[in-house]
Amino acid sequence: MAKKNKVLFIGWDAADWKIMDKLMASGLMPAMKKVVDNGVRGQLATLDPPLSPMLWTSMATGVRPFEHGVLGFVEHDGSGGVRPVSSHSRKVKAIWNMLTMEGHKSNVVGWWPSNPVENINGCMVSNLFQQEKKGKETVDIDDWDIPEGTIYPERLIERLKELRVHPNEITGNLVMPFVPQAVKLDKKGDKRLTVIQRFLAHASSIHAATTELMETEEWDFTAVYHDAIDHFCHAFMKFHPPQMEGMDDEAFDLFKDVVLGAYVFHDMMLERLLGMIDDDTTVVIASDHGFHSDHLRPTHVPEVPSGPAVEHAPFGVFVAMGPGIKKGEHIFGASILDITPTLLTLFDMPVGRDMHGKPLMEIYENPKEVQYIDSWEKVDKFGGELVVKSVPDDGTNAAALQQLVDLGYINDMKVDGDPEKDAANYLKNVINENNFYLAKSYVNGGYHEEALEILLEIENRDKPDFRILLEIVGCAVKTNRFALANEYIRFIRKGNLMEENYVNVLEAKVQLGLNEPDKTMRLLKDAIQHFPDAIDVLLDFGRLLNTVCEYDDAVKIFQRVVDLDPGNSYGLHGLGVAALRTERYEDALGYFLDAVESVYYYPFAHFHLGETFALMKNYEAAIESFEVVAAIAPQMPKTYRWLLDLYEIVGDEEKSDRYRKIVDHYDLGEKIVVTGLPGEKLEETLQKIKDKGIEIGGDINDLLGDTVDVLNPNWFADLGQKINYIPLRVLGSLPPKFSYRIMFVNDDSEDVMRHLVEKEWPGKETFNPDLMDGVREQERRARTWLSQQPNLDLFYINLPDEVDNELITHYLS
Amino acid sequence: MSEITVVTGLPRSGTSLMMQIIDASSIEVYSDGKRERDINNPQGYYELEAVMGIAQDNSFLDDAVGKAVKIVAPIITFCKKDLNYRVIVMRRNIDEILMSQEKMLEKDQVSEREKYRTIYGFHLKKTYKFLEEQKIPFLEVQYSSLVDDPENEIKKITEFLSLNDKLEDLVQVVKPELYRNKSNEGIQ
Repeated sequence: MAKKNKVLFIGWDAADWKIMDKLMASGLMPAMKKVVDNGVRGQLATLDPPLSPMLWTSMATGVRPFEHGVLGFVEHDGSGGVRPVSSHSRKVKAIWNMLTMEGHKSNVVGWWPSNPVENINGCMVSNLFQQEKKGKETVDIDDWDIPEGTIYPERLIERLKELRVHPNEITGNLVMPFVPQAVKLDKKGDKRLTVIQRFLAHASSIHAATTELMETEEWDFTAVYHDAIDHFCHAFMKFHPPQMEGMDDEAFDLFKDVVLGAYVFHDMMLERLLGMIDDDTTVVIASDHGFHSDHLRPTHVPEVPSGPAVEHAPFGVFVAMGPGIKKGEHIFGASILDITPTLLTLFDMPVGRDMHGKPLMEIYENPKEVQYIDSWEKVDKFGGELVVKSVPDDGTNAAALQQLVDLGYINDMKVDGDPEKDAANYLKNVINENNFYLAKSYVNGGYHEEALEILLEIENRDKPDFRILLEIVGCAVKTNRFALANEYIRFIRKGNLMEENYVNVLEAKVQLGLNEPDKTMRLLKDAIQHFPDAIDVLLDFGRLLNTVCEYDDAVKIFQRVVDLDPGNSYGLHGLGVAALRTERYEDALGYFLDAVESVYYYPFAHFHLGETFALMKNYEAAIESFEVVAAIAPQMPKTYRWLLDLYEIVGDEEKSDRYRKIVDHYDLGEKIVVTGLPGEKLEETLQKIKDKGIEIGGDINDLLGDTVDVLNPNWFADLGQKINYIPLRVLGSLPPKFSYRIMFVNDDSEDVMRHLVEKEWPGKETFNPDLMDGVREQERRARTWLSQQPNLDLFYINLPDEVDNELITHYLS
Repeated sequence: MSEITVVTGLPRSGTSLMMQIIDASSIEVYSDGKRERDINNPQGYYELEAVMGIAQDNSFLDDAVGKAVKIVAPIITFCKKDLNYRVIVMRRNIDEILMSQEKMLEKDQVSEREKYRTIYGFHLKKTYKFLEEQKIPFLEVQYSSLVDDPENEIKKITEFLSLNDKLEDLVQVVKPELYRNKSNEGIQ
């Protein structure tokens, strides 16, 4: 009789919905379709860098690579050499350790990395199980041993050994479905057929071990990992239809079906596994990232370590089917970090509070209460240990390294001269490379300070690496170290280390940080002329246009992003912001909803969604959106302020009290600032506020800021009120020690100019081009400054009468 | 005395001068004398080769109990956590440090000043974090103050280290002519 709570987890490296949806629709992936139709599906956001051993370890642990310690494809072997990344590097517990601690039995097959295996409660077969090479030589099938540390328990070695499939056993007939015209190829000379044989053999070996363990061993959790889709895609996606520019017709015809064949082959393996489980078993299928299969396929792969990762798409797949799981529904916002927390809830086990992921509770038909513990690292129970402390290299490591070289993930070790020196240099490069991935992992988690520290240590002026330089400039900007960023930009320009237009994009980020919108605009315009289809550049440009209120141009740019990459959430968000700021609330709503549907983990899109709902007076929906922001980005204090106001408006005292406490906790001394374009609307707005009996600090008649002496260190504190009028010109001089709620009065700059001329210089010409430029420059600088501040709560007023509306009245209270 | 007296700080921030002062006191300096004096540090470096490998092996610290040892920032963070320490942190204007290092290395690093300024900022941050987390008592000594007003600074040091040595014996160690590369001198 089947045990309850059994879980079958299937990992398909690089599986992507774009191809699977087509194949399911045409009936070529029936097993996957069955799981999708009877379960929930979603996109699974990957992490950066999208390198599989790091990602699968994050998947199995719920934490980011800087926490779990597996970095890159190779690692120091502890004695001056390198080896393929192994379980030695993992510093935290994996799901199979946690299950062992709670008495559950696991089968874990092929996980990357899992060699050497651990003596868990259950069975482990490592990722070296299927390896048929020793060094560069293929081992004959009769001499094919199992390396030490590959299988636990040892009693299984002989049985599983016999189940492996050697590439030589993959005959021409088995390759034919992938390359129907294989007969045209020189079978001995064409390595591409050999590659297919190897990939199929490896996948078959892993599949055979999995079915054997599922059938013969008692288990609560079976996890199997296949790397074949990723490998097939790296080798053959360039032949996948539509035919890429420059692709040879003959090669295209020969290999255009290989990738589809790989998916169909995996579906067949899935069908077999589904046939081995009962209705009480939950099936989860996931991939660590996707793979570009359309116009987003890169035309060339950079010749740097891990260069092939540019072919990876940022979203993998997630499907879950089983008792208590919703049917036929989509889930949003899932990340590979959520897999382990979710698996734990399937076993009713507690989630570690120190995990970076969250359990995907929306997969369940009925709400389930999540149990938490501080950390699984602190649980004092046996969870399994490595069965061997160090594995003597019998050539298997070298073979695995060679496979990584063949796939283009690592550089070949060139031995030209002193082998010892070469080995030492290679090791040094490996350590530097892994530190680079560590830094990238910190960047991806938002820890720019930590990343910068590592990047500066590994950066070498004598051997410039553009990847490191790019990250340094990015981190310097994020941590407001603009002098450092500029120093690197000078270095890049001086050494001609990057194409000039690309450097312009980098410098634009620095100029934006320095509150120089016009310089930023010039640099981005130049860059766009050269990279009209570069999505990142377009997004930067669009954001800047939104910031300086050039909404029509912003819309064109963001629309171009969405045309190039339909569903691009950042493009949709940009369109939404432009619509929101021009009071097209219905349009804004649509864009923000589309943005969060595409990427749920997008706090700014939820934030603006909340703002839009609030402006549409749909306070309940606004609350829901801001609650999402609070859940996914708790470090944004201004969210709590919104929630406090909204709960007060809807009269929920309990919730408003709760958020008041949080706001008080964050509050550094909040000040409300009224500012805006120095025109009639601003004057009227200020007067209306005064008419409400509210005291306003500052001289409300000083539209141009002539009376404010920002060189006086106490200029702002001396104003002495909670609500202060600050002229636009000096907005950027607000002291950082307070948090601010800014009420920004919008106005038309020509109206502003006319008003100023009439007020300040009566009798003069009503059109003054210098004054006009000055007003516009002030406005752009102020808006750019506002866009750079992390802790500002910004609210726009378009008409003085808006001061009377419910939200602003509340805002001012 | 059960503590190890550690002198730390960024390279070229006056750590060797501080070691000389301690050498003139009743505290024994733990040094192997392998790095010989040179024109950049005419009185010697007071460095210990074992310190270079502290990340891999910090067992040498067991022999340093009751003595003084120089461990620059940030490798002080590799000190054994089960021993007791008191630490003097040498501080010097970062531009002076960078110029002094460039002079010593005979290398023009003007185009990398921000890089090193940032790196050293991280090193100091890491050092202070370690001292605070480990609750290690420490005294900050400004190199410029030590040279400009040695009596006052050395008095603070003797109080911190509970030394009974004669103040003038220690003060005479400080030779103002060693105060080279002031940021406002010699820069074009």
